[in-house]
Amino acid sequence: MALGAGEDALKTAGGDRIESLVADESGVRLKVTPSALRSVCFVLRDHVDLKFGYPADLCATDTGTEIHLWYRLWSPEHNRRAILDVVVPSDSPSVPTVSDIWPGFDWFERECFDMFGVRFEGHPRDGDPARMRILLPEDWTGHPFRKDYKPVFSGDPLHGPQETN
Amino acid sequence: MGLTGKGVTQAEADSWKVPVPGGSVLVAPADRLAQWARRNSLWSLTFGLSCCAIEMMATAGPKYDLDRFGMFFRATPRQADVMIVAGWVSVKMAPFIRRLYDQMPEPKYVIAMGGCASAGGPYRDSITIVKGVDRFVPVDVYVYGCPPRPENLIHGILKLQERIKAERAMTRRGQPVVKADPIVVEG
Amino acid sequence: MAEAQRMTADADGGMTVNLGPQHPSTHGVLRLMVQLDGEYVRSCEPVIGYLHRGLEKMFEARPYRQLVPFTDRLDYLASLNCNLAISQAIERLGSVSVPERAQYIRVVLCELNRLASHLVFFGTYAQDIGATTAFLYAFREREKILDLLEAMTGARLTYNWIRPGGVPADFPDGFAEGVRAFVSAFVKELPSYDNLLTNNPIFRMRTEGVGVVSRDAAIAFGASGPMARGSGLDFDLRKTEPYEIYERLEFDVPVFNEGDCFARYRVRMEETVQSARIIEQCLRDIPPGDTMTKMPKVFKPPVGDAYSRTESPRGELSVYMRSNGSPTPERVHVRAPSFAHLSMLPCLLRGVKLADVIAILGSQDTVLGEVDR
Repeated sequence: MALGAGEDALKTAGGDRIESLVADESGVRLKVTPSALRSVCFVLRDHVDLKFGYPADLCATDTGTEIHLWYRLWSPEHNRRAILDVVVPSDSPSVPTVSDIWPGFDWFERECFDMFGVRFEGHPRDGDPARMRILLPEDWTGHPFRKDYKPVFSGDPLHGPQETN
Repeated sequence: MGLTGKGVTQAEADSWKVPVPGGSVLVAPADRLAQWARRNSLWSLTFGLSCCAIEMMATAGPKYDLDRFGMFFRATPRQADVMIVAGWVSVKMAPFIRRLYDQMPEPKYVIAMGGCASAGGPYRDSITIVKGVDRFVPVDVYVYGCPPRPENLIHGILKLQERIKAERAMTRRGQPVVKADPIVVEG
Repeated sequence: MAEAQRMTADADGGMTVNLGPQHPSTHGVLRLMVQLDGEYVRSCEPVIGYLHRGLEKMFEARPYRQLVPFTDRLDYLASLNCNLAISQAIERLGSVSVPERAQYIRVVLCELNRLASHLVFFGTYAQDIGATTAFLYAFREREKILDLLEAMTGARLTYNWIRPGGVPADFPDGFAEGVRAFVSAFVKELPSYDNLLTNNPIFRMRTEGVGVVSRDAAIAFGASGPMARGSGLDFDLRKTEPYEIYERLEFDVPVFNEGDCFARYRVRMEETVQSARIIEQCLRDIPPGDTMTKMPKVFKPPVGDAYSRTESPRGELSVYMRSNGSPTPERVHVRAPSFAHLSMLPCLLRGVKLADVIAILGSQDTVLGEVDR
């Protein structure tokens, strides 16, 4: 057991809401349900054998029916990586925020909302789409990286989606 | 004074010299004088957007030394004569460019530097990129390249200076100002 | 400085100053809405996205090998490092091995680009603080690197030279000698830079003790590169997770514990020396051989995903790539270091003086092209 007591702590925190857990010397691969995300994240950050304090990356992938959220973490103490996979349905994607656990994920969550429409419950800007948007203009409609996104070209160079050629 | 050259012969310039005690005074049409001053002190708005901005900086750097053409970067549109749009223009940025252009005093010129500013460049299938800055501001010079080399940008600036030389500064009231076709500087 | 930079008085006597998006010191188009209480910053909200072009979505419509030119324009100060990140992801996806010589060439090119990028930082950061001469020195040196890279790749800025499978061609004649000559001259030149800026009392007053990032904050915000190493976090992917041939090379990772703007500046300046060391070792050890692995015309990697982490001049530049077996990727995600660094600003700028905002922002050395993607 490469993680020592950390693995047990994770299992205790997540229970049967952890769908898979693979741990070796190089890192941890975890798949959890959205409801277990926060409790697992607290353990990942704070447990002395884990100490994944460094938020490396948050990336979303739309498969058409569901959206995968990949949280990538790094532990400076143990030089170990963790990947956390959370799957949410594509039609109403929503997960609890971790931006208070790792402040570095604040903007990454905003980007996921902007591009995929994933709702992050408890994010300081949750419920205010205009302020939650980060890269696109505030008045943009839709979330362009989703597979079901169809842009409506505005025909106005100062506003809205631009036509492609 | 650099009034001789295209359109003005030496004899013509000499004929404008008025002898006064202790020297001579050069008399020139106000029109020509204004354009001469204008084209040799084109102050540019520092308006770097992306990669082209780095080449624009290199152009102002020691190797290419843009200052020798009277070009000097100003950080405010109110002191600028020419706007070099250096980089891709997103739909979020476009209203600001339009506003900056509106704030520049007349006469004002726009150089679209590089493929992105001219026509969207490699981002032709991006829905957030405006396909050319000419969709919302008039462009005088298009410079080819992705990004254009500094030499190419300088070529574009010299072409713009030629254009300004041919323009007439003073027009009678009510007479429409004719804008010439844009110049295209190939790489 | 544009009209957007309008000052408005708030009800409680505070003031909102709007910097950008057109501002000479924002390094691209970044907008900071700064709430002031007198001279001091009460809060700050960065607005980004003015260069957003949906790059990750555009990648999904292109064959794998056509992705590389777009990464040139991602972090345009270090195009080759971006080329490397995406090429590595593609190679891992398709299990393509890269010839050893190509790996050495890649490292030489990346380190040259790192030098060029840090030189731009040196020049522009000094200019942000108010010293204009350093810009001229930095760009003079940078032009020499660009000349070398141009001899190799044919381009000054957008090189598109590190491609999936290796590099398209070997060093041109005289390149190695040119690089050696440049590197040794550059290292000799460095003390004059120190005289110009590092030991300049005004520069030090503007940067020492300004914008302090603690080690814990650097970790919590995902800071990487010089941002992390200036705060005492010894994190360099070339050491912690070596890629290409970095584990064979001898170099130090400069770490400073102060966490202020000056520490970040010092890290970058020290890194240039280390890059010079790396380049010299590579040129000494480079083995003969091919530079490109032959890849099929239509490259279809098996279903799966790959993650490539690289150390760009700004920090951890990672690419996530997912394949569904077709000639185009299903999803590409770029983790830009500057994006994480900019997200620190609201926290970092609280309580500092307005004049220090630019000093702190400049010390992050952000490139908005990779932030907005």
